[in-house]
Amino acid sequence: MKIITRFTLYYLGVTLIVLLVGGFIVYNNVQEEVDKEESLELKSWLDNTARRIRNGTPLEKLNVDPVQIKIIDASQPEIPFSVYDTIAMHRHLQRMERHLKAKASYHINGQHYLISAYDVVVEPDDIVDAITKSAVRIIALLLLFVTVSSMLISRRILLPFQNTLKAIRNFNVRREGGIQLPSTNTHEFKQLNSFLADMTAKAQADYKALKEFSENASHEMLTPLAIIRGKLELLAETDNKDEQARLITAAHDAVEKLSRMGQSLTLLTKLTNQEFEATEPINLTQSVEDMLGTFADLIEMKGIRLSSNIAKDVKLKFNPVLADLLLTNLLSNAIRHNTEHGAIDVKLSNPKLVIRNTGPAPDGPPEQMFKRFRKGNQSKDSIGLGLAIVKQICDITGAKVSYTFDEPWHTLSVEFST
Amino acid sequence: MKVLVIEDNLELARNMESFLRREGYVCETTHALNEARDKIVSFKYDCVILDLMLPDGNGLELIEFMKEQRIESGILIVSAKNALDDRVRGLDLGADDYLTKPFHLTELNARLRAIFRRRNLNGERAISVNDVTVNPDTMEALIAGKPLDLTPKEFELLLYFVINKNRVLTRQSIAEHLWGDYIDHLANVDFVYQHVKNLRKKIDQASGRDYIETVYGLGYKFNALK
Repeated sequence: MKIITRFTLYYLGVTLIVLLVGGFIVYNNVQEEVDKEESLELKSWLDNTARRIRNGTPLEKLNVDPVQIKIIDASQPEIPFSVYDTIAMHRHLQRMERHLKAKASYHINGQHYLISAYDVVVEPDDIVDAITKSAVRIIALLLLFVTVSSMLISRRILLPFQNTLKAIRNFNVRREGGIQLPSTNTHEFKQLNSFLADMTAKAQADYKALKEFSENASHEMLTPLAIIRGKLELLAETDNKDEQARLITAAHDAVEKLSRMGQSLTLLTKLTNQEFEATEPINLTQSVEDMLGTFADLIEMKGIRLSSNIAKDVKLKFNPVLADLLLTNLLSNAIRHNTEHGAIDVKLSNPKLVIRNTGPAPDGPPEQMFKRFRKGNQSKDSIGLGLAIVKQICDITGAKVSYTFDEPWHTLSVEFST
Repeated sequence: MKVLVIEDNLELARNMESFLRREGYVCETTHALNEARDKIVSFKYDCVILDLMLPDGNGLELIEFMKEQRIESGILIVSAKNALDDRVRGLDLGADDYLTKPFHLTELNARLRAIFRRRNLNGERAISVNDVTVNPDTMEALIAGKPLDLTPKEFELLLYFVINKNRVLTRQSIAEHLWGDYIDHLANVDFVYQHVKNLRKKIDQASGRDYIETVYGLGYKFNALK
C-alpha cells in the first residue's frame, strides 16, 4: 500500500469519527435551540391569554385549540411556567407528532386560571435526517478532494524520496565516486539522505580497502614465489644426489601449486573488482572451435572421444578475454575430471553452451561445485578454483551457469544473456 | 649477447643474472629507473629485461624514453602485473614480448632467444646442437641432415629443448611453454610426459640416439655432446 493511501485512509477515518460526534452535537444544539424558541413562543401565548382575560375578553373566545383555560381552586398558589413534551395527534397531518406543551396559572381578578397551550415542534427524526444528509454530502466532498489533492501533493512531497530511491538503485559499491543524492528541504528526507551518504561512503571505503588488500596479498605473494622457484631451478642444475633431487622436486611442486593458486586468486579478485566491458559481439563459434583445437592433443592423449555440435556463426556481446577464460576453464575441467577413454560432448547453440563429460561421481552436492576450493573429487593437481572462476565470469556477465550429474555424465551448461 | 636486467627485487634479479651468465650472456643488473636510464644511454645492450613496477616509476616510462632516444635494444617486459591493459600498452609502446611473474628461467631464455632471432641479432637462423638443427622460421627440424616429421607441439618442444640445452626443464615449465597460461588450470603433467616420449621416439628412430635425459622427479634435460 502506498504511504499516501495509508495517510488518506487514516485521515478519512478520523474525519468520519469527527463527523459522527459533530452530528450528535449539532443534533443536540438544534434540538435545544428549537425547544427554547418554541417555549418562549408558548410563554408569550400564555401571557397574552392571561392579559386578555384581565382585559375582560370572554373565556369562550379564548378557550380555542391549542389554548386551554381551566378555572382551579383560588386558594392554591400560582403554578409557575413549565414546559414538557408530549405526543399528540396533529390536526392537519392526522398522525402522531411531537408537541411541546406549556402551562402556567394566573390569579386574575380573584379567580385562578390554569392556562395551557401546545404546539407542534420539529421532530428529532427530521433533524437527524437533515444532519445525515449534510454529513453524507460533506463526506463525499471530502473523499473527492482529499483523494485528488493527496495524489497531487504526494507526488510533489515525495519527489525527493523517489529521487533518493533512484540514486540508491543506481549505486554500485564497486564504482568509484560517491552516491549523488538530490537536495531537499524536508527534514526527514534530509536526515535520510545524510544517513545514506555516510553509509554508502563507508561501504565504498571498506570495499576499497578489502579489494586492495586481497589484490596486494595475492600479488605480493607472487614475487617471493618467483624467487623460490628460480632458486630451486638453479639448485636443480647443480650436482644433486637422488635424495636431494627428491627434496627439490617436492619443494618445486609445492611452489608450483602455490603460484598457480596465487594467480587464480588474483584473477578471481580482478574478475570481482574490474569492470569488463563487452564492446562488440564476438564470434563464439570461432572461439569454441579454436579452443577445441588448442586442447585437441590433450584430449587425444587421454584417449577421450570428442563429439561436438556447434552452431554456425553464434555471435554474442561478450568480453573476449572473459570468453577465453570461460572456455578454457570449462574445457580443461572436462578433460581433467574425465576418466581414461571417457568422452566429452560440446554443444553450442544460440545462446547456450553445454559441455558434458564422463567422470567419477562427485562426492558433494552439485550446488557446492562452484564454491572456491571445493573439489568434486580429489583429482590430483587440481587447485579447486576453476569452476569458481567460471561462476564469477557468468555472474559478472549476466550469464547463467548450472551443473548436473547424471551417471556418468557431468553436464555444465552456460546460458548467455542476449 | 649483452643483457640489462632492470628489476627492483634483488633476489629475483640475482636469479636471472646467474641463470643468464651460465647461459653465456653478458649480464648487468640495475634496480631503479634512473640508473637504468644512465646505463642505457652509456652502453649498448642487445636486450633489456624490464620490470614494470619500480621504486622510482613505471617501467613503461623507460620504453618511451628508449624510443625517444632511438635506442634499438630488444625489450622484454617482466611483470607480476598481468593486467591486460598493461600488457597491451607495453607492446604498443614497442616492447618485444611480455612475460608474467612468476616465470620459469628457461622460459625467459626461450623468450630472449626468440627476440634475438626476430631482431636477427646474432645472424642465427637455425639453431644447432649435436646433429640436431632446428629452424624456427621454416618450422623445420633436421637430424643428421634428414628432416624430422614432427607435430607443431613436438616442434615447439624440441626448440625449447635445444634453446635450453644442458638445462633441466621442469615438467611445469614445459607445460606452460607449450600450452601457455592456460596450463594454470590444466596442470596435468602427464601430457608433457606423452609429448616427450613421442619426441624421443622420433629422434631415436631417425638417428638412433637419445639426447633427452630424464632427470628424476624434476623433468628433462637435452644433453649437448662435448
